[in-house]
This record gives sequence, C-alpha cells and structure tokens, in this order.
Amino acid sequence: MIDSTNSLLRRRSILAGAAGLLAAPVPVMSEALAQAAGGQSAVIDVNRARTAPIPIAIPDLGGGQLGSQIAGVISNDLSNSGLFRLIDKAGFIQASASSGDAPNFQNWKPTGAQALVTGNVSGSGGSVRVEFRLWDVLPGTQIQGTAYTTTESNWRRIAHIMADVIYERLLGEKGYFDTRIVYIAATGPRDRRTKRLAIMDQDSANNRVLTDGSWLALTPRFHPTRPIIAFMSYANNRPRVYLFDLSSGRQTQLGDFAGMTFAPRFAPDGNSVIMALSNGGGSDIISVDLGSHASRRLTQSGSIDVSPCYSPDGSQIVFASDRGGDQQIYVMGSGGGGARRISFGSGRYATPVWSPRGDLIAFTRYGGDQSNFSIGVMRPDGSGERILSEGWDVEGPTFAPNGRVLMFYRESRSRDPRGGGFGSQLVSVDITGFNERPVSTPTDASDPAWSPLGA
Amino acid sequence: MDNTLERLRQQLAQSAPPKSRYNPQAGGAPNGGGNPMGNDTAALSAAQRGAIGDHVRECWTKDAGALDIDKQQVMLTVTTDATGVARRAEVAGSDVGRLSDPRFRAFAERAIRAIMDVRCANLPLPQTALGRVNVLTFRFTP
Repeated sequence: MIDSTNSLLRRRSILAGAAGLLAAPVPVMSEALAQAAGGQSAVIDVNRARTAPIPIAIPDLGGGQLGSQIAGVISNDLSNSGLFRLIDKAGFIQASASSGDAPNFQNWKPTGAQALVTGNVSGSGGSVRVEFRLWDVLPGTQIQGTAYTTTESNWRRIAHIMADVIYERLLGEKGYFDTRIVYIAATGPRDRRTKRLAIMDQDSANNRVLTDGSWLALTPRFHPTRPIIAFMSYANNRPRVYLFDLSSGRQTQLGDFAGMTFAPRFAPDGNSVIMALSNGGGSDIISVDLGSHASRRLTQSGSIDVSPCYSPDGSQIVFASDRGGDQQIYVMGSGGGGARRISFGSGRYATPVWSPRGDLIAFTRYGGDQSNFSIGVMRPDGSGERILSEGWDVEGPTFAPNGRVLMFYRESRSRDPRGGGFGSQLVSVDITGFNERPVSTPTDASDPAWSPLGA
Repeated sequence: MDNTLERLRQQLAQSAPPKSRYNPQAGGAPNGGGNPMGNDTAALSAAQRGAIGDHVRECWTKDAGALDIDKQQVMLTVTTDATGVARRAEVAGSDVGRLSDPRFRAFAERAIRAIMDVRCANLPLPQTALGRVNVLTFRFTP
C-alpha cells in the first residue's frame, strides 16, 4: 500500500515537474516563435530627433543678373525662416547647373546639401520666363519643377512665390514669403509722434506710406481676400474704425457710432468686421456687416471687452476683458455669449490673436511677477502657455498666414527725459521661440499685421 | 523461389500515378539573398538594433514647429549592400498610403535623408550580417 502510495506520489511529482516544464516562461517561447515566424514586430527605432534646418544649395539661376537677383531673394527668404541652412557658395564644386539637365549629384553631396535648386531666366522686359527645379540630393531625384511667365518688373514677387513652393514641398506646409506687412510708421519726438499707415513686403522691400500723417493711425488689419485694410484713425479727432482701399487709396468710415470704435478685425469670410465699441466707462464687442453696415452686439458685460479675433473657421472669438477683475483672455462662440476664461498666468493679458492654423493663440502679457512685457502663445483651451520673447515693452503679435511665425513690435526705453533713445521696431520669431530677428523699416514701426498669402 | 521473386516484383510494380506533387520552386536563377519582407531585422539582437538606431539618430532631424509633429511616425524599408551601407530607403508598404499628406511626406523624406546621409549610411551591422544584402525595417519618431 505504502509502495503504491509512494509510487503515486512519485508519479504526481513527475507530473508536476513535467507541468512545470510545460509552463516555461511564455515570453521566451513567444519570442522564439516570433523569430521563427520572421519577427514581424522587430524594428530598428530611431527617435529623439534634433531640431535642425534643412541644408540647401541655391546657386545663381542661369540668365545673368536677373537670375542672381532671384536666387538671392529665394536664399534670403529660406534662410531667414530659420528652417533652411544655406550652403556657402564658396563650397560649391560647380557654380550652377542648368535647370534643363540633371545635376551631377556627386558634386553636391560633398557640400552637405540635402536639397538643391537649379533654374534659368530667359527673356526680358514685358515677358520673362523663370523656371526652376528642386532636387533631393541624397536619393538624386527631382521633386519639384515649375515655370513662370511674368514681366521683368515682377521678378521679386516671382522669387517669393518660388521660395514658397520650395518651402511647401520640403516642409509640407504653406509658405509665407509672398506676403505683405501693414504697420504704423512712426516719426517725430516721443511726445508728438506722427503715425502713418505703411505697407511693405515681408522682407522689408517695396516699403510705402499710405496716409499723410494728418491724423493718428493705429491697429491696421488686412482683409482676408480683398485689398482692403481696416484700421483705427483719429481723423477729425473722432477715433473711429476706417476702411482703406489699397487699390484706390480711399478711406471710408465703417459705421456711424456715437462712441469710439477701435481694434478692428475682419471675419474669416471677409463679410464683416469685428471691433470694440466704447460704452460708458467700458467697451463691448460688436460685428458690423460690410454690405449692409448693420451691427450686432456680441458682448454686453459692463466691463472693458477689447481686441476681438475670430478663430480661423469663424466659429469662435477670442478677446481680452477685465470682467473678472483684471484683463484676461476669453473665448466665446461667434454669436456671442458663453465666454470662458483661458488665461491664468501671472499678470494681465492683452491683444490675443488666433493662429491661422487654429492650434495656438498668441498674446501680450505684462505685470504680475514680471517687470517686463512678454509675447507668448497658448493652445485655444489655455493650456501649454509658452513665452517667446520678453522686453521692456513688446506687444501686438500677428501671425504669418501659415501660423509658423509671429511678428510683434518692441519699444526701447528712453535714455533721457527728452525721450532720447526711445524707439520702436518690428521683430519676428518662430512659434518655437527660435530665430528672433529684427524686421527692417525706414522709420520706427509698430502695430504690424500680416497679409494673407498672395495678397 | 523464382515464383516468389516474381510475385515480389509484381507487388512492387507501380500500378498508380505518383501522389507527390512537383516542386514549382525548383530550379531558376538564384536570388541575391536578403529578405524582401524586411525580416533581416529580426535576426538582430535588441542591442544590435539599438546600436544601429543610435547611429542613425546622429543624422535624424525634425521640424519642431510642424503641426502635430509629436504624433508623426514612419516605417522605412532599408536595403544595405554587403558592406552594410544603406543603398536604398523607401517608405514601408504600411505607410505608403499616407504619402498624400504633405506633412507626412515631409516627415518621411527627412527620415530617408537621415538614413542616406553619408555620415550615417554606413550602418553598424554585426559581422554575421555582412557579406550579403540586408533588408531592414526602421521606425522613425520625432
């Protein structure tokens, strides 16, 4: 009996041991099976990329001086964006390559270029043909080829358009080089400034003044599709919103309100203007239809509601308000009502503007635990606040039409009681906070507004 | 005895067609080696894969301001020569359909340039993987 029991126990032990073997760690078995099956889950991971510009070679286009000039504008556009690194021409093995032939990539790879632009300009005067090709150097393939026919006087604009095409093909997002900046050109002593409406290309070329300075001009904004600018003017000492027709030079007052109107912006569809209207000791946000001039009140909080800006889809409005005690940023539906606060950092917030990409709201911040002003961005729900620039006085951000670059203005403090040393200049910065650069203007400048692409 | 032998011969004689099928893969030109399905990656150990990834990372760059960059990912199929140098890199079949998205295409092209960069194309493959073509699968994330 005992022997049988012992035998039974031994058998059970053997079976338990066998079960243990059968229950060997599953991952080992699975990995072996996976490898035997071809290891379809096995990959080589490459992560933690560096932020770095794309190295690009842009030799002079063929066709003489015009080809050099066009290549120069393209080079400046791409280099100034901070997203491209120009290969020094001194390192070129061949000076240029005709756009018609495939380049000898063995000559370009040693320069470190990953992209190459070749092109040619032919004709003159009233009919100039500009063609270019964009090459991916490492695989040795053409990835873009376009030709344009225009007048010789239009060469700068063609160069900007070409830069936009290169930008878009390599980065996957629209460029911003074929755009203009409208701003306030300021001259004179600090206590008696003359402020005129002015406009220039985004690279500071073709600058011209639009108003004669008889009356103070402020906060200009571009229409989304037409050559019209909305701005505030103190004409006849009655601060009101005006529309400036870039084609004719005519200015017309928008609406007829008893109170002051200011801080205008066009709706994304271009059919109306949203702005602030003073109301007793405060101000409300109103919308004015451009066709009928009918107005609609969107806020009536009894506080100071200012600086409205539509979201790019037109469904929401961001604005600044002191309804909660001090000036903060709020978002409401485009029909008004349901405003919710989205800024909660230290200090006060002003001049909110919604990115054309929809992903960010830029703002000016001041006061609180900081002595300086700052320009920052946050997501539309108020999260992810980041400061991009600081200074004694920085304010008034405007987005490039692709949402990748902000422009604002920076004022410098006076060195003496007479205002010496005081100045104001435009500055641009990438939305990542990199590549802050001054924007050249012939005079002091403030209140920049970026045009739509191609405007 | 002869009758026995004769009977045995008759038993062994084929009386029906063979059941086995011919091998259609038999013969033909030999292929160049490697695995078109990218399964050479599975033959590498985790440490070896990590070393290759670290090597290519030196050339891996991103556009930090691109919309939703942190959500991007691309799979590449990379073919090396017998010395371990990457000679061809293309978007894997699973991701080819996304190339119509310009942002994804830009991200994928950056990954291809990272692999093909002269500073990183010489992949640190183990000795056992050299001497033949390898097809490897890479996953790039920002």
